[in-house]
Amino acid sequence: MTGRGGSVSEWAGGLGVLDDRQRAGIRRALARWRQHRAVVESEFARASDQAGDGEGGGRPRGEGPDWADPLGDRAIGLDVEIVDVELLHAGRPGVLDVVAEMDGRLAHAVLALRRPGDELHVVGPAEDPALGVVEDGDGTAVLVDALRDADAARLLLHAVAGPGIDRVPEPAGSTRQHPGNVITLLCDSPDATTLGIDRRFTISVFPWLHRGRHPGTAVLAGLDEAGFNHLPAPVALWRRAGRDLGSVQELVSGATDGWSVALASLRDLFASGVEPDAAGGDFASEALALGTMTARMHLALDRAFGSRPGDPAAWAEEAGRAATPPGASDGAVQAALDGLRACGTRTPSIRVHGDFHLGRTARTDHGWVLTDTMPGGTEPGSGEPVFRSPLADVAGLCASLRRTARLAAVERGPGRASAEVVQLASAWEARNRRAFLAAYLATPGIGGLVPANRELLSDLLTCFEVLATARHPLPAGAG
Amino acid sequence: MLPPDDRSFDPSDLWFQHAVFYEVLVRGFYDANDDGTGDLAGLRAKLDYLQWLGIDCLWLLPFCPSPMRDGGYDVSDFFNVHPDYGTLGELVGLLEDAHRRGIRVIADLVINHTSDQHPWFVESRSSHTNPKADWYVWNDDDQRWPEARVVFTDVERSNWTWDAGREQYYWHRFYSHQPDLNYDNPEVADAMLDVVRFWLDLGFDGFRLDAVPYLFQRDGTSGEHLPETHAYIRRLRKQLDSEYAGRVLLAEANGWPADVADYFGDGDECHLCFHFPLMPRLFMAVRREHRYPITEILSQTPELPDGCQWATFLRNHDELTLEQLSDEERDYLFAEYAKDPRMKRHMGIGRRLAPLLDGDRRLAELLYSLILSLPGSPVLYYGDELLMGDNIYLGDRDSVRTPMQWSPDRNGGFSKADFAQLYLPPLMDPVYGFGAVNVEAQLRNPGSFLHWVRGMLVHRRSLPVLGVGSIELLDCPNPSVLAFVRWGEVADVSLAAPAALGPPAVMPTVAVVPASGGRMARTVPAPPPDAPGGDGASPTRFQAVLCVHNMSRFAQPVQLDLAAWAGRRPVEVLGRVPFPVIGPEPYDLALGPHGYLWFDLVDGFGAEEPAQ
Repeated sequence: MTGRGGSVSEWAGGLGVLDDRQRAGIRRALARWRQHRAVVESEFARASDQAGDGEGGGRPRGEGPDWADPLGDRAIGLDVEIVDVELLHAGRPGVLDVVAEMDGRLAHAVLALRRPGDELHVVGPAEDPALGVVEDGDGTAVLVDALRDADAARLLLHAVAGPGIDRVPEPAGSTRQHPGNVITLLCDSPDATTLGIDRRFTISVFPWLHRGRHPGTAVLAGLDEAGFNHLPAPVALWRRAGRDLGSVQELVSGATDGWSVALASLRDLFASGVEPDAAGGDFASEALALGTMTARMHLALDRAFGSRPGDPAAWAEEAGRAATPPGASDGAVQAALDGLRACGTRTPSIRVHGDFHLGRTARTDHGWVLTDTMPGGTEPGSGEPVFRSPLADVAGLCASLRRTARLAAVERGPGRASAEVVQLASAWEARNRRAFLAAYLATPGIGGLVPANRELLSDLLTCFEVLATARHPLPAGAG
Repeated sequence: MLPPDDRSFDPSDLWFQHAVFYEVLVRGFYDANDDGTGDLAGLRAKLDYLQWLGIDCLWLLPFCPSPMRDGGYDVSDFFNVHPDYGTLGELVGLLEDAHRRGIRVIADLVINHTSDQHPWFVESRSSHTNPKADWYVWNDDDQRWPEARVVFTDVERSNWTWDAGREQYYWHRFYSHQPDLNYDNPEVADAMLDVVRFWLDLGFDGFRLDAVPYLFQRDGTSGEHLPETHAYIRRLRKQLDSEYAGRVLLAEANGWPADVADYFGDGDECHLCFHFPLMPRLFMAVRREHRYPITEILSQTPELPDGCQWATFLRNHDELTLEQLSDEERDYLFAEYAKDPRMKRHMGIGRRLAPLLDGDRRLAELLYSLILSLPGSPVLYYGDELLMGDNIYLGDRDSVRTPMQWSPDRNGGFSKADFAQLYLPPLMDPVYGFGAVNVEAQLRNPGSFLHWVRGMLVHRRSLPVLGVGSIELLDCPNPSVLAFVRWGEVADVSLAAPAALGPPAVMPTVAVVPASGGRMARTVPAPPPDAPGGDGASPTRFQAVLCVHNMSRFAQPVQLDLAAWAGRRPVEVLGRVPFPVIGPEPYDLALGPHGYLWFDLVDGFGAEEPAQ
């Protein structure tokens, strides 16, 4: 689905092309937008650092706008080349979608056109979202980040998803209707800004574009078309000129990420001091449901993108090259990798999720859903889809169970029967791993995607757990 | 003991939508004639207590003549009172006294079957040709309707039992001594309408319809929820509406919400239906320490027709039924709440609230807070306001039907009869026995659970939106927290919380105007603060109540998106403590272990009331 709006010439008030002042105004606004994105990226990196799961970096917060420079060159200080402009909504407020070359990348900003003095309903932090000024046929417009302007965000939703969005029925039995319409900032990450609109939809906008298809939306669309319903249903995919700009999905109400649900279970376990199967907060029924959902995800990915023979020996080599996590030097791990190198057989490989763990899932009122397809079955930094055994995702979730249990034990703090806590965490991980794998392997049809040979299956799991653990290391100090 | 107040009768025909019901076992409540069995005079003598407690409607368990092989659900005379309980005259006196105190009374109507000692059945089984021969369901073999499940699988092997006299099998969905009436016989259908008229004419305010899904049988079906059954209920309802306005029908239909909702019809069948699946999931949620068992079932609960209401409960006179659960969920609850096999009854757990919760008062308060604030009219079970215990060594469901514990005196103050005369032994154990748990002691202790329950009923009455307001479940990133807002138009009466809960308070009578489209309405009225009703009828105003519950035994933080309520100030209901005004940012709260908070979301707090 592409955006609906006028052309650049319409927006330019019949001039046919952007005049120099308009182009300068937009460039200057993009420069300010870039500063805002740098702050977001910096804060995201800092948060990831604190979680022990990312890298630092980013630019400092910029100074206030300098609108005295009519052409904006001084404020820009960047090489910004406007590639594509589309007017999604004319008038005031108007919505203008801009793609530009910036820092060697394709930047994507949605700008609201506001009358000077308009009262804004700001989404997210209460900071000034104004980016610059520009003149068009309707007079002077203040350019504002449209994803921070509630009225513009609503217009964007209609532009992307079409006017029929208002007629999408609410799910039967919904108890989440609301006596007011609200727009909230759900997530602002380097990859996407996601708004919740009226508690019914989410709109995600990519600030940086891939040259071709975005792997995450490709997987999202593929899963949806293959009938995988453990997803926030896609409503519209926003594409233009062969580039994915964003997406609209139904908002899954009542969702809690899988990580938090698992931690709640572990808290109960540690307090109970009994075996996990006797604890009230037992997670096994959730692990069973996660196993079934994961298998269905793989069956849908197989239907959507097909399968091809995979080489266990190559995966073993990759695991061997991975940064050595604790345990990787264990004899059992080495034996598993050696076994794969020597197995001389091929196993089905499919376009996998790519970075599957508890944080990619959420518990809802209707069961478990996959909340994040953005890895798109690619290695970080790679644009090409990667085909692997689906056990790569299975191992990712198993590693996530271990990581969660270890982290909960660490956070329990030193000096409080830590040996007992570690033992309970280990038992929790084992029980839920068993439940997850049992449900996964019992799902009809999954036998066609994983090896029947249990030894090979076990070796593959070990191999991929090494890779998953290299990507998301275990916390130190938890046994 | 306690001075009565003169609370007036709520005149609305929709009184049941915001009422609190109290289920009472006449046999077990209070023995006024010292014969060891509770009676109607005893119940009448305790109306002061019930009025003080603040309940709106009594639900009397069966009191008709019966051989008492199933707690009175085996009726042998539909037009009289069991002699152990008193007389029709005493019953009328009870009804008049209750009404005088603003308390309505409904009765159990055992509509599906009778005792095998009922004269109708005695006559019916006597021959193939007697006038009552077709008043029950007879067959030459026991193979018909194999699709109909046996309800009491631990006791009965078949729904058919051989009658040697008539040399035929008779049909019974429950115990073999409870033959099912044949509603295909118009004489039976008419006779039960006569029963209904008889009790309504005496002054009852309605009925709880026992075992209502099973009235008819049809080939190739499960014999439950059949269209013919609904047609008969509509006939019953029509009679109530035309002759007895304001009287209600409460359906006991244990099923999935979408199926049970059929018993509301189009607002032309039952006024209330029990929400059975919610109850075990409340217990599941607090053990799992997350909200999903509750939110899952709420999300599958259909909208109500106008003029209807769910009835919610924590415990009742039966076992904690686990029928509407998966095998895995059932095993889980058995493991958590019935560690001793003697605690199991049929497909459930025969325990009272307090022992189920290991006596944890915080958990009990949390569960009470939930049923008092979630959609539905709560039904309390006698003794649970004290956190009374049970006796799992008694047979069948008598474990939860032991005498009410009034004082630490002999027999718990229930009866002056000899101990051996009592219909069941009172509890005497050191934890839940009458020496430790009784009304007298808790009345004297302002910090008792009894006083807490009473206080919560008072507060609930001050928030009529909890009766029929819409519900919005709030998204919480913390799975242990369940937060929701109840909102809608309510009658514009003074809603100030009572100044004190010590002496009995005179409660304002409130009427609630349902939100457009019923309780689960999606047509959203723009919040018109302080705006009068638009139709020239009784003035209304917008009310919104935020309720937050912590399912975990640990303190929990929660960040709520309350942007839609920006500008309103949450005022904590129990203490009228004003919290910071809601803004566009996420609203942070912290809850103690198994904690709960109710907030009145008020506009302009501080303008009329001084901030504390």
